[in-house]
Amino acid sequence: MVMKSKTVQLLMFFLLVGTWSLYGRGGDLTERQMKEAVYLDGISVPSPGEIFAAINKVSRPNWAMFSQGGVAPITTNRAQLALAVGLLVTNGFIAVEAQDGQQVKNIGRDIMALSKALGVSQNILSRGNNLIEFADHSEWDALRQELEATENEVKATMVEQQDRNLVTLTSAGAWLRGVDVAAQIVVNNYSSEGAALLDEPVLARHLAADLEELSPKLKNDPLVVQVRDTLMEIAAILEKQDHHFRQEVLVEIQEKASHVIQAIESSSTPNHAS
Amino acid sequence: MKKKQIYMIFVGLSLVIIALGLFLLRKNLVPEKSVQVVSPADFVESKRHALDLLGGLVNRGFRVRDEVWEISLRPKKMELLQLTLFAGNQYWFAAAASVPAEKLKLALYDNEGNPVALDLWKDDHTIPGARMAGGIVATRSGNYYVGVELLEEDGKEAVPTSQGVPASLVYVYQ
Repeated sequence: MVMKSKTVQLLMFFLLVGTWSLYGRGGDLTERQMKEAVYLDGISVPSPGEIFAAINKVSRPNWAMFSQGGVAPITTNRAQLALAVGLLVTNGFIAVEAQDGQQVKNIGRDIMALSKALGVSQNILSRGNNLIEFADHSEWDALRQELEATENEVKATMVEQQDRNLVTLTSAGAWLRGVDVAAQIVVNNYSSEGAALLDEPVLARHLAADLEELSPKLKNDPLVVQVRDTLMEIAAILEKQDHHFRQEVLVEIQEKASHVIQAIESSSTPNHAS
Repeated sequence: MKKKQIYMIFVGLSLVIIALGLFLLRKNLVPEKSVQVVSPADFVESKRHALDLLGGLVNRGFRVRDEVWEISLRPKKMELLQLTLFAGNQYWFAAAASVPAEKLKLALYDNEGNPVALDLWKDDHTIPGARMAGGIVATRSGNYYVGVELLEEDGKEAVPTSQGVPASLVYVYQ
């Protein structure tokens, strides 16, 4: 009798523990909720302006050193064009940080040219004019807003034209260039606070997983494979560090990002996905 | 079998049934009622109200993200969006929902799903519908989740579960 009663008590205890663990602790999210959270390309992927704003709080980078245009590759490979649009958008943000109006205008023109080559330029002609006007008047905040809006307009047109595949590539290109520059800045003037800004393994894995979901033709494009592998490698390096990133780790990340960016900028990439 | 034993078995079985019920609910095996489709035009108002809420911050140098999260909210179901925030940056999130919404909950969670405290601005009910805003200075860079939930105002009738209420979330950073 006593034994049976103890068994029932034990059963009740395990049931309560089971229910508690199923529901999680009060106020916390469950694994399932986190897994099912919405991921929206245009908002879940941070704007380059966000990481640059954070970098400006921990160091005083010479943005002019990183401001560059002329990365529009001559190619008909649509995957490469989409990746290059992403690079250009981040370069636009860098030029804004450097307050280099002429560079912003050059980059704006390059974005228009690539968008035209992709067949998604019809909705962004006015954006190009706005970029020129804001650059002429040194309206830097308006330029940041306009660059992000231009990127979103290009992506929306890709979706409209059943080219949703290309959206992830543009996001990946923009993020890789952001990581490249952020890592260079932190390496040049190292601080643990600056290094911690690169702690984005979840996003790197998400972008890589999205590339895995592309159509077989795009997914197997050598450049897309290289981009996906780089994202996975960067994610793996970041995950290994337990939120503390030494200078040599950042150098490794920057070299990987820089290497794939050179491939995106190159005009000699095979046209597998054209 | 004595009365006490029967009673204990009854209690044990009841707990099993309750736990199973909770498990089924959690796994969404209980079919949900059909939800009315919310069209993109329905989000215009909530988007405007959410942006209006942050207008003052934009005038103070905050930069607004161009993209808006459009949500079809149902009572007692928190919708979550994945985000990346950067340490040192200050963020403000604003959510707005159209009538018949009365009250919104806005919450932020870290990468492990732990709640992160927000400075909350509460709805002053100067416009129809519901609004809520919350701000934070991020102390850690990385992945976060922002949650929006439709709540019932005390003593008022709940929004029917079959009806999705259009809502929008925007955020600014500095």
